[in-house]
Amino acid sequence: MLKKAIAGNRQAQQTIYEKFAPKMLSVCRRYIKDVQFAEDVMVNGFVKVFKNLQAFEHRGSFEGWIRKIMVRESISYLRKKQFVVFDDEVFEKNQVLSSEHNSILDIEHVQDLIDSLPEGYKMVFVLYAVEGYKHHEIAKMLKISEGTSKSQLFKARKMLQENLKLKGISSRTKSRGN
Amino acid sequence: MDKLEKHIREKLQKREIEPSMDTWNKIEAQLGGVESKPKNGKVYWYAIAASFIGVLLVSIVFFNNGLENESVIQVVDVVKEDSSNIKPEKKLQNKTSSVEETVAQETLSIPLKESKKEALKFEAPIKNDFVLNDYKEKEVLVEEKIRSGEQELFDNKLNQLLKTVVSMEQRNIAVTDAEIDSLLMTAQRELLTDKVFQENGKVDAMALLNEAEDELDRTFRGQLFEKLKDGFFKVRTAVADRNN
Repeated sequence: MLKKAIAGNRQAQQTIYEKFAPKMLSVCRRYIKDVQFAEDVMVNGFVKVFKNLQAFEHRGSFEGWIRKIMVRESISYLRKKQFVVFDDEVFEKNQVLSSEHNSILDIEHVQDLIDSLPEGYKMVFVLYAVEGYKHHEIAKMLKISEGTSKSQLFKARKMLQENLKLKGISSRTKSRGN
Repeated sequence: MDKLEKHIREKLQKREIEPSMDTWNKIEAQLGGVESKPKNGKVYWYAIAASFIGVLLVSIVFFNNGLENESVIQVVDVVKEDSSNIKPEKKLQNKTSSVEETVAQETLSIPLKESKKEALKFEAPIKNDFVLNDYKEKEVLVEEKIRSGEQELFDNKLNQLLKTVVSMEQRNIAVTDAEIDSLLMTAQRELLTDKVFQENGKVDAMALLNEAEDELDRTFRGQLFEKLKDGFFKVRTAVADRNN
């Protein structure tokens, strides 16, 4: 299948697209709040995938290779379309989330929490906590220092805790109200 | 915090979002030129191969031309050698028969040279001029030698005729124009025979051809007649003076 896709077989390429598109749109959606824009980014990402299929060296998984392309494309989109700020403001409060809150978080709530983060925090948090990149890798990708990457992660965590606390309160309020 | 991040990671990694229906069409539209990219690559390689073959052909043609030019030079050298070989022979041999033999050789060699000239006409006109000039020089030389040979024959024959006329005059036989004409015809035949059958027994092709045509140059006959008459009057005057 992959060989056919490399040779330019359109049917093979479509099969690959249909297999990975839902996952890849989800990847793009983690970074980009608007699903339509996320879809546009995914389209550009797949075009790059199929144009550079011969560059895939079969070392890692094919899905991981596509995922990297999607992540880079999403970051590139955010850098082009939005003003990404990696501010150094440090949150003094250090709140700990309770397991009670975790139990009520479905995927929509998780996505809302992520979307509520500023772009700089969000990118570092998703890259580190969700995609599994190291700080030096993140620093290289975002062209920032490792220290900035670490501070952005720290701030992202604090903001998530605050937002989750608010949502948790909101959830409880709702449940209590119901 | 670790539990929260783990929970977020699990939720996000399991999540799948179905793209809209026309998304593939957008990708396909953008890939339109990509599918032909390998073909373009092939065309690129074909172009390189074609240009290489073209250069090869041009070089072959170029080097072939060079070889032909070399062969032209060789041909010219051969011609010059022939002419140089022929000239000393002609200078050494004063006899008519050898001259005529040379003429025959030249006659045979002319078509060969002309064919060579035709072959070389489009390639080396300057060298052709050399060949032509060389040929013309040889032709003039051969003609001069033929003329000298003919003149010698002619003079011998004239002396014989004069002797005959003088002997007739001494025997008081009337010499009329008809008799002189018959003597001339006899001399003509003898001349032709001498030309055709050479001393070494060979047959001269050109003389034979002339005999076959049976045509003697009128100017030659008239010239012979005038000289004969002139000689006859001189002899008659000398005989009259001696008698007186």
